[in-house]
Amino acid sequence: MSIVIRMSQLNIEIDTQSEYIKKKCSDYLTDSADIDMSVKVTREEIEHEKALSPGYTDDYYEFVCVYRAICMKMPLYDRLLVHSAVIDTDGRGYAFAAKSGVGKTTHIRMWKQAFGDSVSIINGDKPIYRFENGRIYACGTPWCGKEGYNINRETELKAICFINRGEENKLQKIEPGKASDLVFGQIIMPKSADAAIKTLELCSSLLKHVPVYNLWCDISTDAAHTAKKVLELA
Amino acid sequence: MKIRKGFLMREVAGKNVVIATGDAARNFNGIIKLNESATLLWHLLERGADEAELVDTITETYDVDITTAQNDVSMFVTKLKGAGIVDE
Repeated sequence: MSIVIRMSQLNIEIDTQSEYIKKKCSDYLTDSADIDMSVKVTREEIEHEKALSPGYTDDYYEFVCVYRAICMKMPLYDRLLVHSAVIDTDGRGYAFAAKSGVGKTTHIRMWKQAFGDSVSIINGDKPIYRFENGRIYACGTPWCGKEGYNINRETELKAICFINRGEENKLQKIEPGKASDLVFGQIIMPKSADAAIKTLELCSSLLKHVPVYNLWCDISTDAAHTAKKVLELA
Repeated sequence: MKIRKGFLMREVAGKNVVIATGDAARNFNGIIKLNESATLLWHLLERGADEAELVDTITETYDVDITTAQNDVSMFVTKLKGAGIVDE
């Protein structure tokens, strides 16, 4: 059995028996027979994932492995998984990244509180960035972190913020040569040479076209207001 | 000494970085950033060079005394060997 999902403007065939995966991907299913990419995960990959983080169902491990298989191929399609939470407001996409536990989810909740329905969460954790002619679009995917924040649409990315906890809400632009280390921390590097080289090229393009900021913030709607004022001009 | 097969240098946002691919990626994860002098040494090691040759290049290119150059080169080479990036 296989299912076909459409995300980041690609039709991706997933060879799977899992009803869980089909359900997780329900917003992204398509009947199209025009396949851009096919993936299938092996028993060994599932067992490997299980050994790394025990305590979940086989369906869950397969779901995780499917995305890894997809993301390892994505660079060859000018797309990149960048670990971040992406929101859209007024047609502008903003990405927030942070070390686990610093609070990117908390911060995007502040945007929802401050600006309500004018803010959409495209993906809470694992969006695909799609590169096209010097523009970068962040795309929703069924893989999105434990809160389940995702919608099947994309937004043009206008800025990336690295979140730090701070007493005072403020942003500071980071020059691309220094921001590269931060971006490298949010991607996975494929093992095949062609996809790895492409990954570096896409990182370079991302740093060239999208400004990167350090954001210091507390947990308040004021943090979202402060960030929005700066990012609107990015 | 020579850089092992599978290690590649590329420029990202004006800085040179090194990654491992293929078999080399089994034991090496991550991305190393090279500064200007490390990039120079990397190019020499790609085609194969001994430590004396590396020291010569550094003293010819930069205004440093031989002892400083020897120490810097030795430190760089030790790091590369430790990470399994060069072989003898």
